[in-house]
Amino acid sequence: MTSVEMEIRTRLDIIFSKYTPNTQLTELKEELVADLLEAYQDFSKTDQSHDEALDDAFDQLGDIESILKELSQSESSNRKQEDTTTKRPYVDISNQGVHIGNLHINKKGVSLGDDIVLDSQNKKVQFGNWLHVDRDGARVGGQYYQFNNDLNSETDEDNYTNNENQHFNTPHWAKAHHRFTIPISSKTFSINYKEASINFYSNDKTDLITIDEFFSRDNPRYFSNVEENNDKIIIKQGDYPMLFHVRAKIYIGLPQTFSTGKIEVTNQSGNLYVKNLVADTFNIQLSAGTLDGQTVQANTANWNISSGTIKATHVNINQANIHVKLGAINIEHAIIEHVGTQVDLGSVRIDDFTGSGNFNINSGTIRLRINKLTNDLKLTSNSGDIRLTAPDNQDFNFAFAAQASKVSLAHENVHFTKNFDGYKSGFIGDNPIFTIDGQAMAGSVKIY
Amino acid sequence: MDISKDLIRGHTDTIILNILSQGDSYGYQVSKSIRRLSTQQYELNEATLYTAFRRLEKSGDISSYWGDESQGGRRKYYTLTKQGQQHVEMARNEWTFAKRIISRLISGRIDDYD
Repeated sequence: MTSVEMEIRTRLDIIFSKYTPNTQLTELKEELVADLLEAYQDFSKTDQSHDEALDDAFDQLGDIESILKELSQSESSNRKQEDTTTKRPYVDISNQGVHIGNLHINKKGVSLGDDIVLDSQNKKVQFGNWLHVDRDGARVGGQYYQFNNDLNSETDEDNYTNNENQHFNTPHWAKAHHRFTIPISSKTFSINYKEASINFYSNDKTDLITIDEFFSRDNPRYFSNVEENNDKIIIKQGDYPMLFHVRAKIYIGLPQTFSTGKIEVTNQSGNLYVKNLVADTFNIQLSAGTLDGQTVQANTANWNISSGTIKATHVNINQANIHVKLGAINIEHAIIEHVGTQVDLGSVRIDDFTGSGNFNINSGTIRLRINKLTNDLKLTSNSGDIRLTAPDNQDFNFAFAAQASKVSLAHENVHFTKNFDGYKSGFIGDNPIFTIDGQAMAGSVKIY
Repeated sequence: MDISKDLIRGHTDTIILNILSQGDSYGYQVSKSIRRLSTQQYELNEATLYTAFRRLEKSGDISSYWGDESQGGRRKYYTLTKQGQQHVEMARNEWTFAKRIISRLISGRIDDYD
């Protein structure tokens, strides 16, 4: 047995020890050992240390307590169920239907053995593997014939920019398309919507912002208005009916070279998708909605989300202020020179983080994989754990406190100035410049 | 955007059946397949998965057997039964039917159907 397997087994033993053993629990444990081992191997590819990979493997397991409880209580219920299903007479004719051996005729249809022949509930006919007929079409042997009798046989998926040459497709529900362009300028572009799905992409223009609006009703009153004052160009969603819902999907194309652009977006309800955005300022205010970003580059960014998550890859921002009231932050590959992050209820996870700043989480965990520090880093979590992967080739000072739990720091070349269970300070390496400060009120602090 | 848990919850079993209908698999691999199929948009943690496996095994849609890995823990493989095959096909049909209706109910305009 490898040492990893041994450690996995030991950790599982601790979890399982609360329950009365039975064969089902033993089987589950065996199953978990194999799965966790493979998860560990997968995490080892990206994680630096053994402990870290092991923690991550157990993390993704989720909450197994409820299944353990269930299994520890349901010893023999399996067998009882099998008994009841076999007690049926060979011929059984009643109001429920006709059963002869394994031929069943009832309101569900006609079935022979496990094969359903005529299925009235699902309106289909099927003979073995050879013939299948249902309301969509028929398959005979290898041929498929589609029935095309539907009112509008649309496909329902919103086709969201997959085609390389085309930045977007018209949504199938769109009844109106409103397109307009605005020349770029040094003023702030303020984009205001009440209820829309907003998509940013980079267009092929050099000095024009292109805006395409799609609405599920055709009425020019719904189209956006553009106003301009001394420092802002304001794009504002048109009338919004009180009594019924108008679906709106907005595509905003920015020139790839518009790196001086100042953009602010407000959306009360709806998601924001951002792809390949380059700007000087990119501010976001979402009341209920998610920010989904792919390759976002800006000098400054203020992101405020009341209820919704941030999910992004390749974020490159000089100075960012992120405030999420209710929701998680999940970013992969982030270079944020200085970040101020506040999350009231939700967790933060950043993989491959280069930067510095503050993370303040009220109720939730912090998981950072730090690539490089650009300045000091300060983390506070009120009720969750803090888990950090320290930078690979960078020395640093540290001060970690876990008020009600433990601080663990597994690293080489550590010099402690204080070393208690709940508090550790000192530095790693020989030439520390920046400091990582971590405080967990209720949870633990772990550094890999 | 994350897919709403309420929206997808009723489909957990079908999702697993669909994956197993393409070949026998074990817990960790199924959870990876779900991530792949959803292009990383959806994740079922293993705890949920194991609960669903137990449920499906009890109802007779899947059965399990131990792999013969010589080291590193033996994997428990799950395989679709004949009943499971029928159920996944049924569920797919139900879904193709339902998604059109639901989509109309959620975003259709009444005047189009006058």
